[in-house]
Formats: sequence, structure tokens, C-alpha cells
Amino acid sequence: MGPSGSGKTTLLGLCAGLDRPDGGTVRIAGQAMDGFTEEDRARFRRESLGFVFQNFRLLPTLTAKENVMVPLELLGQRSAGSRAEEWLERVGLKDRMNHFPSQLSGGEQQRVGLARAFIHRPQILFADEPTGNLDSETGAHVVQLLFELNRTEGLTLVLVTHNPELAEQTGRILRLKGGILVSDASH
Amino acid sequence: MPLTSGWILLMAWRSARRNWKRLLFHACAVSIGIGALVAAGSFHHNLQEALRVQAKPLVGADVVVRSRRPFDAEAEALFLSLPYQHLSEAELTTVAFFPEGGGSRLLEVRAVERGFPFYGDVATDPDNVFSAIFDSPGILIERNVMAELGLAPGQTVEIGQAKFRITGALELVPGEAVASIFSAPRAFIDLSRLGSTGLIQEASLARHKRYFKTSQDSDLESLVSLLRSKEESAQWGVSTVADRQRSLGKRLENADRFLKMASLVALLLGGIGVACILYVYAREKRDAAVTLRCLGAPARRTLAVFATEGLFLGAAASVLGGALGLGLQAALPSLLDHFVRIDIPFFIAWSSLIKGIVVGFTLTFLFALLPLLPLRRASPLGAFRMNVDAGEAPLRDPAVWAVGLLTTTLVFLFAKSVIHRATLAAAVPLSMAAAIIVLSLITKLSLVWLRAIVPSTWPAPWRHGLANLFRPHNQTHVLVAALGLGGALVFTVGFLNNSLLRHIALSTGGDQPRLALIDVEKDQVDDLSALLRDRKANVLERAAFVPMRIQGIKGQPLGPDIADWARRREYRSTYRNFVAPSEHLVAGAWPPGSSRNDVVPVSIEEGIAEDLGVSLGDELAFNVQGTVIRAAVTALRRVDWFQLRPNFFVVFPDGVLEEAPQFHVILANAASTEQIGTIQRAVRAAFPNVSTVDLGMVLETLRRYFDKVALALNFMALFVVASAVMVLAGALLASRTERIRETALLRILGAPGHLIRKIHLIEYGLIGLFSAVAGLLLGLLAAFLVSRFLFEIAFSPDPGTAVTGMAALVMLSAATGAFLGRGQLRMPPLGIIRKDQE
Repeated sequence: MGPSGSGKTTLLGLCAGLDRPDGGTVRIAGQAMDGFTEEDRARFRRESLGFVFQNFRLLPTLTAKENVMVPLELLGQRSAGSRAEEWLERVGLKDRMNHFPSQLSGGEQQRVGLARAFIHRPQILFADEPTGNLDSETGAHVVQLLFELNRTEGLTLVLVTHNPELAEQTGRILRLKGGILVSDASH
Repeated sequence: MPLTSGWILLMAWRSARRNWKRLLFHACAVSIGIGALVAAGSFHHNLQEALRVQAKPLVGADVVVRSRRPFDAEAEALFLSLPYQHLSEAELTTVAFFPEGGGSRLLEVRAVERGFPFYGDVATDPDNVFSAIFDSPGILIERNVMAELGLAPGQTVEIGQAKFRITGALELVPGEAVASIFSAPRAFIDLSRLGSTGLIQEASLARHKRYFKTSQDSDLESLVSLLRSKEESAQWGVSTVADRQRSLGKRLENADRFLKMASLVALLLGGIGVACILYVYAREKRDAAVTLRCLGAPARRTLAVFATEGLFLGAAASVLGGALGLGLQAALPSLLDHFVRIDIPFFIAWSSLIKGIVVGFTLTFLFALLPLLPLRRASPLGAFRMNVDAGEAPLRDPAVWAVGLLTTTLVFLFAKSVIHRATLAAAVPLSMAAAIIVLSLITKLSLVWLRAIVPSTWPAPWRHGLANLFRPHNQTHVLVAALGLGGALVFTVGFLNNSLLRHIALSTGGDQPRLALIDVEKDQVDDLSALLRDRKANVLERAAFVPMRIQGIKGQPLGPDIADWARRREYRSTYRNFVAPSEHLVAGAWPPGSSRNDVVPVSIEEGIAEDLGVSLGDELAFNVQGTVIRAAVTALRRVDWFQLRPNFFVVFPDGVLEEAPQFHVILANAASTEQIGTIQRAVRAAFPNVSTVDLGMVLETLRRYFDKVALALNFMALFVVASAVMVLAGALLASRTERIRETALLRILGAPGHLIRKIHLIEYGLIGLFSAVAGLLLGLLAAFLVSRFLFEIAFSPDPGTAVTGMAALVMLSAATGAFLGRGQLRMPPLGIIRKDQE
């Protein structure tokens, strides 16, 4: 965590293979990303990573169910439809699965985002300010769901936030300031 | 499901399904461009056909076979075996006697069969008496002869041993060539009565013609090829409507070029519209592409999803555009009927339709691909950050260059298929690229200038309207490029139309001679000129005709390698020390600087120089009534044979032929038919040997035809303007999605509707103004270059075209700006934002 401009998103981008470092090495899930081409990185992301975005980033032309299906489709899995339905049921949107993003509230959109992030059982899930665009009550529900799913699925969650309350719910907090790691605390 | 084409198709379908309204909007906008492209191609064919049909009265038939001797039994058998209608004519120049007061007169008697002509009408006074010559021994005589000799219908004319009764005056004759204007006045009789004159004998100088009418173009081609195959052995000449059109020279050639160019312009306008709309379309896809990349979709697959959507768009737009093009083509003639009274046949030119759709589809796809390609390089980090490079800097992407090259090649190939000249076709995409660079520079400079001069104290609509031109992600450059280029193309067509119409009008208009005095002896020229001046007629030209034959070339007698007609003909040459207005030098110099005493410098027409196989410096020998004159070619001239003036193959300098046997022709203008009659009577009384020819009769058929040509040119120009209005309005409307968010934000902040409308009006009005100024400058330059170097005519733009064009462009842009916010202003702001997200 850290204030705006502290380098949180830059670090997330580097860890997720979305950006290349000017110097040093990025090792993630046991793999060094230095020699990866753009296509290698894309393959790594679709196989091993999941993302939850502050602004949801749902594809506006796809229904809730189709949005959730995308990661499995990218992996070439055939059961994407039924799995997406299961996941939407888990996030409480079974009756909204054929709705388009513009027909869903912010909280509902973020729950679709959660289903999409978990559906392919990634090793690591990156969540960038997942409650940043939600009111406190809806945000609390989404956070509760995020941690619940994380516990059930047993994956690594990397959460980017400047919200101390949210950060407190994690097992380890890295604090950044001006692009520098200023503290690393586990609890 | 594997990550294959199936998934790409599925994703494209999902996107298209949800977005169908927007996709349909884009497809409709693009289809206007494709429609213009399809309609222009077909319409060009329609207009060409209309002009071909209108040209038929110039010949009177589809094909004419001419012979100096009667057609023999073999030829007659061939003609009879052909499944086409045909008519015969015999023509001879003879003296006619008028026993009831007129004395005698040299006439060119045309003896024709009933049914002549196949196309056009023989206009008479009184009306419709042409057919009467077939009912009884009747004759129709040219009106000026009737006036000159004081003849009236019912009087008798003796031709050879036969007597004919005058049925009326001849007003207009189809099938007359410009070259024939300096022959004797015409008269028409029934061919079946020609024998009774006793003038057709073994060695008579009659000319024989056979007119053919075919029902289909394929018949025409096979007939012409059959008759031409026997041209040499049967010693006849074959001519067609197309030949006559060609003989009309540069005017018609330029008219055809103009029609082709205008259809190309419509294509380019379509292309501009397509590019502009798809630029907006691709920008809308950026966010979705970045999300997919972030989720791990490979770059190529991501591109393929949106390219496939572009493919759908292209297919839908092509089908719509094809239908729209056909509809436009069918509707425009009746819509514009009041402006252009010309019968334009509607038929589907399938080749143009298919070509239009294929080119339109390919062009749409390539234009869609150009802005989509950078998405391959879009950083997936953009999913987290607003200000991350979303695949900009396309100029560094080799794929963008490859697609750009492919698009340029396609435009080049299409241009080549229309104008058939590789160098000119290559100039089209290159000049378009140059124009875009110039437009971009003009926009940049105008914006800097505006920023510097507009004070911060200006009212809010002006400040916001101007700010919209500079703000990030503005579309000023794209819209000025599209509108400016579209405007430049329309201005080019408009100015070329002005210049061509003026050029045609010069040839057949009021400053042309109305009267030719022929067979004038040398010592009569001054007295005749004085007579004309006394009767307030302007003497436009006096020319000497010196008959001669060619005897040798380059010191050798004439060989069989030289075309028969060039070898055997009588050359009627003249002498003068200037280049006539109907000619221009293509090589050498005239008047000649100096020459050897025993060799006369001459100027030769370039066509006959080619047939004779001579060039600058070569020597020729002419036999002038028994005297051999050695001449050297010192100048080559290009002659516009269509100009109504005496034109010559060979021109000598002054001081050589003055004493040779010769006759003169005097051309004069006259204000009215009455004045011409007065002059004719005076000439006949004082100079009985001089013939007067009313040029108006020959001119009238040509004038009528060129009126139709001018209408066709206007029609095509109007079509281009109509296409431009639709295409550019479509391109402007496509930019509306960029305005939706801003409108909603301003509305949320409480901005009244009239303020938003004013802001849009000012922004789009200024875009229109930049485009109009830049388009006008580029259009002037392009039209000047084309008229000067391709059409080879004087560049005469009409200021009215410039003013109207500029006003129309500014108004079109401003009106579209005002129209943009209309629907949005009636909706709640949040509704607008929600709708935008769909």
C-alpha cells in the first residue's frame, strides 16, 4: 500500500508481466520473466494470473456470463459455460448472468469481475483498488467475498490499495513511498 | 474451446450482436462511401452510353461504309446477307438549274432511301416535309440557297435530265462532318430517282454510302470487324459513331476523361468517409483490446477479434452500399431532371457494381485494419492506468506501413482501371498523401494562430468551442483532413467542369463563324471583304487554298509503304507566317528563321507527318500544277480539326505560293439569319462565281450534341457534390460518440442546451472553415495542373463555384455540429452516459 504516485501500480504491472523493468529481475511463481517475449507473458498471464480492476474492466459487449467465460476460453477449455454459471452462482449473480455490464450496478459488476478472476484457478490474483469505485457498504461486501473466495481457492492474493482497513485484512503489508519500499510487515 | 478462429468469430459475433446499432450506424455511414463508389462506376457507364446514343445523329447510323465507286455484286451480296437494317446513299456535286428565276447553282446532291436517317432528324421548313421527297419527285434544298435565290416550295429544279419540285428548305442534317462545311450547299432527293438524272455513269464522281443499324453492341462489334476486314480489298472506308466522336477531338476526349475522373473522385470521397468513420470505430475498441491483452489474450488474436468485426462491418456496408449505389444511380436522373435535361438510360453495369463492392469491401477492411493494428502493441498496463501508451506511434509499426502500402496499391489499381494511365493513376494516391500532409500543416498552423489571437475575455461558447479544437483526443486533424480532402476533390471537379464547359462553348458558341464564302478568286478577296464590312459582318479569317500533290519524300519517289490516302490525295495547302488559333507547335519553329534558297521550309500537321514517315529536317517534293517545289519540314503542328476554320496539313511561308493557282475562303460572322440572307444576295449579284455556305446548319447538330455533353458533365459534377455531402456528413456524424461524454458532463454541470449547441456550432463551423480554405487552395492547384497538363485547355475557374463550395462546406460542417447534440439534449445526463457505455 501507499499514497497515490508511490509506485503501487508500477510494481503490480512488473509483477504481472504487464511491463518490463528498466533494471533488475522479476521472478514470479518460480519463473524468471526476463527472457519472456510478449506472447510468453500473455500465456503466463492467462495460465497463472487473475486480475480484479478498480474500474471493473468488463467487456461491455459481453454478458456477465460471457465475461466470466473469457479466461477459460483463452485457455481453450470446453466447459467454460457451465463453469461460468457455477461461479456466478457463487458470487450471487445467478439470475443476472445474461445481463450486460451496463445493466449491472457497480457492486454487481465487481462481483462479475471476481468470478472472472477466479474461474481459471490462477496461482496469483492481482487486485488493484477493488473497492475504489464502490460505496463503502458495497465495497465491504466485495472485499468479504474476495477474501472468502481466496481462502476457499487457496491462491495468492496481491492487493493494491491505499485503504489501511483493507490492507489490515492481508497477511503481509508492503508499504511504498516515492517508488521505494519503506516497510515490509507480516502479521 | 481452443483459442482458434472459432473463438475469434464468437468474440466478434458477441461484440457485433451487442453493438449492432452502433455497428449499423458505422456500416450505414461507410455504405454511403461504397454507394458513391458503386454508383459512380455504373453512372459513368450510363453517361458514356447516353453520350454515345446522343452522338448517333452525328453519323445518322451505327456504321457507314463509304466508297468512291458503286458497290459491286459481291459487296451487295455481303450486305444483303447481313441480318441488319441498311440504307443506301449516293452523293454527287453537280450544277442545278432553277428555271423560275434563279439561274444555276452548284449543289451537293444527296440521294437517299426512305427511312434515312436511322438516328436524328432532317429538320425542314415547313416542318416534316422530308418524307415528301419519296412520294413524288421532290427535292429539299439548303435554306441559305433558298434565301439567296429567292426560291419557294413548289418551284422546279432541274438536275441533269430530271426535274424535281422543291418540297421545302433544309434546316438541319444529321451525319455531317465538320470537314464538309467548305463543300457546296446540300440538297436531298430520293435515291430511286437519281438514275433519271442521267448523272450516274461509269466514270461519274459520285460517292456511295451504305448506312447500317444494329440492335446490340455485340452485333456492332462483329459488323465493324467484318466490314473493316474487307476495307482494303473492297476499297471502301468504314466509320462508326465512336470514330465520329473521336474526330470531335479533344473536347470529347476531355469530357470522357472528366467523367472518369469524377467517378474516381467519388471513390476517393467514399474512401475518405470510410477511413474517417473507421478511425473513430477503432478508437472505441481500444479499451476492450487492452482488457483482453491483460487477461492473457495473444496480441494477434486480440487484433483478429476486432479485425473480424471490421470484416463484418465491411461486408454489411458493402451489401448496403451496393444497394444504395444502385438506388442512387436509378434515382439521381429523375431527381436532377430539372437541372439536366438529358435522357440517361438506367442499366446495371454489373462489372462496375461488382468492382465497386469488392473495392469498397477491401478498402473498408484495410481502413479498419490501419487504426486497429497499433492495438497489437498496446500495453496491457493500460487496464490499470489511463495514460499508458495504447499502441500509438503507428508510423514505427512495419505492419501499418504494409497495410498502408496495400491500400495505396488498391487505390492505384482502381485509379488505373478508371483512367487507364499508370503514371496518372500513381499520381492519385501520392497526391492524396501530399494533400493530407498539407492539410495537417495548415490545421496545425491555424490552431497555433487561433490560440494566439483569441483573448480569454471572449464569451463562453467561443472559448469552449475553440478549446474543443485543441483538447486531448480531439478530432480536429482527422475531420479537417477528411473535409479538406473531400472539399479539394469537389473543388477540383467543379473548376474542371467550369474550364471544360468554357472550352466547349468556345468551339460552338457565338464567336464562331456563321458564313463561309468559298471559291473566291485572289483578286476578289479585298472587294468581298469590303462588301462584308459594309453589311456589318465581321471578317474572321481569310485563307488561300493551293491545290498540290506530293511527289517525293526524302529525295525518293512515293513508295507503297505510305498510306494510300496520304499518297494519292490532293493537298490543299496554304501560306502564312503565323500559327493559327486552332493549332500549336509540337516541334520546330514557325515562322521559319532561315532556309536554303532552293528548299522551302514548311510546317506539317503531326498526324500526316507520321503517316508520311517524315520528321523535322526531312525533305518533301510537291507538285503544284506542274511546278515541283522542294520543301523541308521545319515545324510540326497539332491541329484541332474540330475548330470551324480552314485547317491545313501543310503550311508554306509567305513569298512562295502567291503566284500559284489558288482560291480563297473567307469566314465571317453575322448577327442574324436575315443578315446572312442579305449578304448572300449581295455576294451572288456582285460575285456570281462565289458560293456562300451557311455554317450554322452544320454547327447546329454539333452544338446540340455538345449541349448534351455539357449537361452530362454538369450531371456528373452534381453527382460528385451529392456524394460528397452524404459521405462527409456521415464522417462528421461518426465523431458524435466523442461528444457524448462531454455533452453529458456539461449538462451535469448545469450548462443550458443553447450553450452546448453554440459550442458545437462554433467548433464544427471552424473545422468547416479550415477545411474549406485548405480544400479551395488544394482544389485550385489540382484543377490548374489537370487542365493545363492533362486536358491541355485554359484554366478558367468560376468564382461562383469557389464561393458556393466554401459556403456549402462551412454550412455542412456547422449544421452537423448543431445536429450532433440534438438527441442528447433531450435526455437526462446519466442516461446519456449509460447509453454511451452500452
